Amino acid sequence: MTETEHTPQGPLDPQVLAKVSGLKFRVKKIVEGFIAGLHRSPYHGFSVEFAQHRQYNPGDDIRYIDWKVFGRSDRFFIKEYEEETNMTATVLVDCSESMDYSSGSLSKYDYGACIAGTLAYLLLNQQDSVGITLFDNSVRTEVAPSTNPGILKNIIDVLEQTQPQGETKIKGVFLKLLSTLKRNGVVVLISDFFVDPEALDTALKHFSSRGHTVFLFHVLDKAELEFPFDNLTLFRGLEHEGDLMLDPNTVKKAYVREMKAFLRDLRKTAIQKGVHYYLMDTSKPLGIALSSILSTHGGRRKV
Amino acid sequence: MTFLSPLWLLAAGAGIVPVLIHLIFRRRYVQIDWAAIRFLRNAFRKKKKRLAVQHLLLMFLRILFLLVMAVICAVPVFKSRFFRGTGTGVTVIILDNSYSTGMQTDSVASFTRARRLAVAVAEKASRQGRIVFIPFAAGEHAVEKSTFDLPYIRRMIQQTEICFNHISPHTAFEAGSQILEEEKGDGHTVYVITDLQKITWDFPPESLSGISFRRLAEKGAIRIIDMSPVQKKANCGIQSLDLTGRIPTQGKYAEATVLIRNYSDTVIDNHVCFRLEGGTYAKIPVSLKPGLNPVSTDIRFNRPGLNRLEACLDEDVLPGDNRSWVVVDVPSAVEILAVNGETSVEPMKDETDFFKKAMNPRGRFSVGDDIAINVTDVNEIVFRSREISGYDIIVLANVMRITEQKIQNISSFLAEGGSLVISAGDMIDRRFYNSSLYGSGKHPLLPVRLGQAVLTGSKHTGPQKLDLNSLRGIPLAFMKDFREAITEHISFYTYFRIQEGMPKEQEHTQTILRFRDGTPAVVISREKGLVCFLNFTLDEDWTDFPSHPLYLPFMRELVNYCMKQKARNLNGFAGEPVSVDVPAELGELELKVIDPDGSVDHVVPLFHDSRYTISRESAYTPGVYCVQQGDFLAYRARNPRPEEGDLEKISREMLTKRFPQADMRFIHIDAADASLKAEYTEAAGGGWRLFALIACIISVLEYCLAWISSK
Repeated sequence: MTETEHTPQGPLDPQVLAKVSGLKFRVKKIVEGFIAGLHRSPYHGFSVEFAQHRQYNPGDDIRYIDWKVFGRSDRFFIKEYEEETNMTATVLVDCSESMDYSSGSLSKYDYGACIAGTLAYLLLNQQDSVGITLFDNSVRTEVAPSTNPGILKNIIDVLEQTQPQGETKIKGVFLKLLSTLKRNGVVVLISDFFVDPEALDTALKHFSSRGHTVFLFHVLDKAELEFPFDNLTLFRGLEHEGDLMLDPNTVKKAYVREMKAFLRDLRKTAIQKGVHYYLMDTSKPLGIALSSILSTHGGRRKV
Repeated sequence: MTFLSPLWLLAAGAGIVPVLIHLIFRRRYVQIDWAAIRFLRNAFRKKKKRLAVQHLLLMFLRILFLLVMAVICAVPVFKSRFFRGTGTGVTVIILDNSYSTGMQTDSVASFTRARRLAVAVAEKASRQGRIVFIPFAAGEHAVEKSTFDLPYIRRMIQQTEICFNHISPHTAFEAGSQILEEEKGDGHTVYVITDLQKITWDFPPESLSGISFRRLAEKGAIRIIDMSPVQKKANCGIQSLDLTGRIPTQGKYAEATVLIRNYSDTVIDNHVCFRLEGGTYAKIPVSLKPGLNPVSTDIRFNRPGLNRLEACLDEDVLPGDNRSWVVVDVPSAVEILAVNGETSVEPMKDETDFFKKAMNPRGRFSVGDDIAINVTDVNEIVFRSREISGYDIIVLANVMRITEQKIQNISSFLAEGGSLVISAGDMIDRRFYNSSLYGSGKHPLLPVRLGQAVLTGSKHTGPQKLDLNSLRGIPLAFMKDFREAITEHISFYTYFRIQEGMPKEQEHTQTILRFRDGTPAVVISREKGLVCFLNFTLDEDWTDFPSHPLYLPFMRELVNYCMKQKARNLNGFAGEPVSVDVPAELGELELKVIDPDGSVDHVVPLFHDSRYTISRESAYTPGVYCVQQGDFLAYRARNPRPEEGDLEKISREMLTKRFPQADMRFIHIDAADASLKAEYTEAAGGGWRLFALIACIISVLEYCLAWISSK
């Protein structure tokens, strides 16, 4: 679809976002659009909430003894609460060269940055701790998690200033990250996942085993999904993968089959590892994608 | 298999074009930075071998397609039964170049195609043996001795043109059979390339053409290639163009009549365009009914001397019969020298008084729009010394005798197209007339021999009445309208009887009017000039005819007829020789001869029979021939001679039935086909269809492969 034929689908439409210069303003626009969409949402108003009683054991802090229960039952019970504040979310954004591809207005990196920025904004508004890490074959830039609202500016600056380049090698990067991440955190991984499937499998396994809740945002361009080329084309591989000249018509169906298999395998891996997987088409409006994600996971109050 | 156009095989080099296109297009590509190249490479790797095979196959098919096209263009010819001939004997190619072969299909005449086919047949036959080429007409291009010399045969075929005169195939058949008779061995083949029109082919077996055709068929196998159009086409043609009515003289109107034949069964709208000296004079829309249609118009000739008048129709499928020409000699006035054989001092008693009155009834040089006739009256004595070349007609009115010198002069005068009217009366010296005018010379001046004088009663014979049933020819046709007056009220008395058995009816001598007793009244003899013998006098001494009102139109019609005879020498039919007498002072000079097609030739006149003459024997091209030198200018018109049955085709069955013994085969080469070579190929076994089929199959295969490879 050409730009002239495009009908904007609201403020979160990639075409609209592409016209907004600066990630900060894009994020603002997304959030405004998104909040407008959450007007009737039941998820706001987080607070400390009671979980259960348990029998007092020697050594327990007497501050947590529920005296009302003692008055009724003459026995000591301790009140236990869920830990709801200061959730640590780490957003990992792939900034390798493959993320620079774009057949339309927004590149995959731009789209991923929008997702990262928007999530950061929403989480900080919930008093959660948010940090961001940009990686390719190593960790390129890192912003340590914090609940300070001022960190959003740092995150957005980092996302804006980074140019996608280099190869993606997640094995070393994720192992290094695992050692620095707190346990039971939230890990949001934004990438096109054109990586070694085994390395990704291993990394996801490690994240899950350490109690992290992992969200995979699989960002792909529409052209990568549909392969809409006709004329003889020289495909120049990003990330030093070499070139390939061919008539697209001759391999179109085979390519689409390969891509579907890749998506299927990735989705399967994610399910096996208990990871939340979302395929993000850069031609689709971002708000729709986010709301569908949040509607799926809002009940768990993790995000 | 051979090729009619082997040069086209060079086009097989175009087989490299797909490779070049492939290489060129490999350099014209779009460049895209692609992230998901891993999946693309995987997809490509899986299809790589299949794609390579498909691409190679596609390339091969495309190259094959071009090669096949090159072979098709080279016109492969398979040996068919028809064109294989019957052995290694002589091949006789007989080409029909009759008038009807000019019939066009898609703007190409059948004859043009027939000539090209004749070349193709000759080329093929030259590999097997010797060749003979004989056209139906125009024999100077015939190759009547068998030869291997293909270029010579080809040249002769190319030089053969359509003959616009009537053609008899007898000459060609006879020549062919004689040649084959002299040839040793057998297995001779005769190819007759023709349009099988009835006018040429409708001859019975016992006719000359039939006999010669049978003889030809005995010597060799007959292969008739029928080039006629599939459907009969609507055609109109000019049958004749002539000046009818009064004689054309300067500044006076004369009537030109064109006879147009509509060969179809329906009315055809057309235009008749009259051109005088190249400029359009009149264009008349006409609706032509089936059959003959006369169309007339009055034309005024302002320029004295020779004028070229042309009539033409709108273009149709047979262009050869759409034009006709006539050369008109327009005098300032018709000059008549009347030699008075019986002078008298009394008024209206001279032999020529009534004649002079008849020519110029009001005593003036001309009357209104009537033709100008100037009669000079001399007696016998003056006539002896009078120069006669400046006159158009000489009238010997009851003249006793003329000198030998004058006889010579009159012969020359006639040879140049002049006319002589002899009126017989009592003053004539019978013996002199019989011995000097009838008995001597190759072309006698007197068309009949005179018998004894008849002397009965007060009047010498008669009274005689005219027998209008004996009236022949156009000049006196008006007399039929006055049948009663002529047959009942006019009496003729003749002084001499015509000798028994006279005249000897020949092509050039005929009686056009007789008396009731059967003796000739008016006899004409036509060679180059016209001699008209009247067996009655021009005055009323012997008959009351001169004082009758019919005398005037009779005499004027006679003069008219004589003048037309003069014009007739200027005009003829295509194929007849063109002959122009040249003044003696130009006899040693080179004269320019311009043919109708515009080609110019420089010719020195030949001196023959006391005259300088320029002759062209093969005037096959219709139109006006021009001879020019300084102020001297002469025109001669040669016209097509169309026949009524020109466009009727004879059936094969009819020919086969008439000549059952002949080894005769037919093939019809459709005139609607555009390419002769394609026809020849088709005739030779449908080769082009086979190759076209292969080309189509290749195209379909290529399409299928392209479709499969996109999957």
